[in-house]
Amino acid sequence: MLARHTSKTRPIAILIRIVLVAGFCGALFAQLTPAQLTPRQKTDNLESFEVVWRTVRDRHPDPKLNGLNWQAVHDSTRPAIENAQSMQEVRRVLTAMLAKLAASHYAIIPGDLYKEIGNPQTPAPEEGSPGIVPVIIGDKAVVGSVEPDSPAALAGIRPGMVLDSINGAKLTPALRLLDDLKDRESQRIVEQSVSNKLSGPADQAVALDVIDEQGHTKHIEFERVQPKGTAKGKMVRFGNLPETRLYFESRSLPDGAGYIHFNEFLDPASIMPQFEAALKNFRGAPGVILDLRGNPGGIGIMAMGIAGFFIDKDGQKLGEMKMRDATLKFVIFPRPETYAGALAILVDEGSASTSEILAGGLQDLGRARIFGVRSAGAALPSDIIRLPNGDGFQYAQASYTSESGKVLEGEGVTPDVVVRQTREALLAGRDLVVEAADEWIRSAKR
Amino acid sequence: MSGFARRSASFCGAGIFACALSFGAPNQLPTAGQILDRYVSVTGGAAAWHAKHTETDDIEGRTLDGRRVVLRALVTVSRSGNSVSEIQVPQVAGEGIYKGVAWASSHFSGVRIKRGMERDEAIRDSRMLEEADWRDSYPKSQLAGIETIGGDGCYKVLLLPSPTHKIEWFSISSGLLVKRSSYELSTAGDTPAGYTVEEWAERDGIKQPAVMHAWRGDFEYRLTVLSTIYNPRHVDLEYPAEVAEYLRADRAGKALPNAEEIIERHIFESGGPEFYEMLRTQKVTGTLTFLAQNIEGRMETWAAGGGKYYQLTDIPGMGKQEEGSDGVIAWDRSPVIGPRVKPKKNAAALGVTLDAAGMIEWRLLIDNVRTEAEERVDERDCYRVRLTPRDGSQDIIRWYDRDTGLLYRSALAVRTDMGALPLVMTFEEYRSVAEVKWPSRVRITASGQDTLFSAEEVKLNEPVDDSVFEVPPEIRDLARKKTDAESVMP
Repeated sequence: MLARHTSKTRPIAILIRIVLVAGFCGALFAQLTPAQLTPRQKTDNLESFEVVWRTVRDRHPDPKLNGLNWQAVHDSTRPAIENAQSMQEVRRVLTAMLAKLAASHYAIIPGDLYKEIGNPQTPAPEEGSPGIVPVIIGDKAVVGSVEPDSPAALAGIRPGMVLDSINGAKLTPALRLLDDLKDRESQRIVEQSVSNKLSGPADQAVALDVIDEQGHTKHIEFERVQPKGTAKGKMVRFGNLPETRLYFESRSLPDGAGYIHFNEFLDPASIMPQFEAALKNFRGAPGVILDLRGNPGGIGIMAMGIAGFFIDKDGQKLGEMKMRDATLKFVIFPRPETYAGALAILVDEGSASTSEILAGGLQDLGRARIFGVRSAGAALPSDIIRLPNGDGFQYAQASYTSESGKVLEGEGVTPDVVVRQTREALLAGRDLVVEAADEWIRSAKR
Repeated sequence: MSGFARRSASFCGAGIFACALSFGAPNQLPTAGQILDRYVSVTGGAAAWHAKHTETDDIEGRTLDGRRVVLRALVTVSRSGNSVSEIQVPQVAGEGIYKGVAWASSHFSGVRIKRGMERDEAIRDSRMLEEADWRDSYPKSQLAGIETIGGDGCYKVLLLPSPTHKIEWFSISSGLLVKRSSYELSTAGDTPAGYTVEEWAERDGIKQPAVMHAWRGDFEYRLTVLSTIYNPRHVDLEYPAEVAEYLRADRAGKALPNAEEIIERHIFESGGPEFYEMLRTQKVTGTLTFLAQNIEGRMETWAAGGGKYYQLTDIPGMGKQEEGSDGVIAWDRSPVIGPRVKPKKNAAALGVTLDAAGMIEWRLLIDNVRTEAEERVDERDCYRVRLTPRDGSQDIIRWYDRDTGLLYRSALAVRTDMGALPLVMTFEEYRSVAEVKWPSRVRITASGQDTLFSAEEVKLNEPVDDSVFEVPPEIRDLARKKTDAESVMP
């Protein structure tokens, strides 16, 4: 269970998005232009087809493939691979074959695109940070939050401002891709891309063009600085994943409720003690808001660990993950001291995987009330293998159902209270989702 | 009782011999032959023995307090040398000799053909006792001296030749057997076994031991002959159908070795049962690599007798994870889950315990075992063996290297808090450590992910400070609270 989701799904998801993007941006991927296949490519394509077919047969969580006659699919598909005239055609045939499974997390990833997202081992973003966390709202990259006292804050950057360009490069081309890819995962990729553009060597300047609430464009330059420790952002690496900036934040809201936010389920040696310390501080608080918006998941078992701070009864579980050869229960292990107050969890389209497992499970158990908008619906762990023809093949390793039997994949976690954040609210310094959760805690207290 | 005596290879053993000769001058010690012939004489005489061609004994072994039956068998032997034993306890099994073939068949491990010395001893023990037996089987028997057994002066007779070191003590005054000892041969190795006679019974003119205080290794029990029938009308001494089938396959070169023999060979090749019996402590350090994620961590394990162990794993990005037991409290602690007292049912599921009994007394944990096939695994010829645990958990499949005898791969379901987790462990490399072969590179495959453990240092039987196994105070507090909570539960 070690970080399978994090280590596999994220880069794969990025690849898939790029695959989709590539369909609309032929100019960016000229290498995808159909080309005549060499005999070697034809052989490799046939081998690749067999690998894909066998992998589905042997690894699909449902050994019966939902009643699909997979051998017949093989026999009808192989001639099409044999007769394919281009790599694109091979991919189309394989994709059509996988579509018969009617399941997510099955995809063929063109080998050329690996170059575009980079090798997972490529150097990570450098340590310098401007203190800005970007979010995508609609078709705009918006400043989601600004680290207090950071160079960005001192230079006048405020939440809600639109990021128009970074170091002279307009963000519009990347954002336009979102016209075609409206799902949250694509937004997250663009967010990550914007975040990477903002990062760079510490003590070096970054130049931003931002649009304020009046629609005026301002040119602002300031120096990046070293993050001020984990609470403000820490670079962490987990296995093959690119280095990621990990944030943890906890504070008391004006009326006493506690607020905790971290951006990924990574680095448990750092996050879990901070989480525990924060809850101890909130011991007398009427409630706690756990903000999982934009949190794409990470190390799956951290969901069980976090849940253990809120559940004091043995034998509870968040849900079950069914694999071909085993069913793993996401059992909750109560901590020596648990928090008994109200718990509100915030989610949005960027809350995926471990975030959904945690939020969905605690919702099912009646322990948490969920606020925000429906989560990503991307809870499955998946794996990716390189095929003999150089392409990648993503396949699901398991299915996941929440404690109440709900299938999270594709459906996501549906909030108890639907609240959508707006740029106007950000500009006004408001977080509508936090406000709704806070109001519920106050009313629960009453 | 002579029928029971033929069961000596598995349960107790006896050698009851007769003698028709009288001793010579009072001060002259008798020969071993004279002592054995006298025994035949005092137990009924050669004529009485000659009148019997078949004997069936119903025998029962109980713990010394009489509460538990540890052995129940119907044993039939014949003068022809053929024999058959139908065993009910400790397991449903049969064994015997038929036309020179020494066989065993059990629910536990299927058919096994005894070969070599084990076969020779089984055949020797299976003969119905008569005075001619010792001359045929133990012609070089010698008197080894005089000893006192239970206050009774006895002649100590070495039955020779006997690779199992058969020794019998006969009362100087009565000529009757007082004690017998030997080594029991089996796939599990040589085990000292024997008995002293507590009561005698006479049936159809022959006097035989009826109640015995027996031992096998450190285990003592009381053996009773419930009934003896001489020359029964109907007796079938042929081997059963499954043995016949096995022998046909054997002749065709298609028979697979018995699974017990395969497992015992691994024990022997990796260090021998003596090593596992003497193993007191172990410390292993090495690296743990999650291959798909390209993560390398470190792992250190300490273990000692009494179920004590401590394991520290440090994985970048996950932090330090500890797991241990002081023999009473099993626990774990990690940044993700926090401190925890492990449920008893999973206490040793993934922990490293040093339990030599688990290795050499593996039969206690297993209901039955079978060799399923000979197959090629990673360029190795292996025997595939299926073990069915007694606790009802999923079968374990193991592959043993045919050439080296060592375990190469094991597929099992490990019981975890999250459910049964299927694992495949491949023992890719063994390293010589303190004259034993220790698995130094182990690949663990779970849910399609490979993890590689590479041992860097292995220390065996070196002193380990007991403080290593101490339960941390916060875990102790948790255990105390748990116990308190359980004690007030309705």
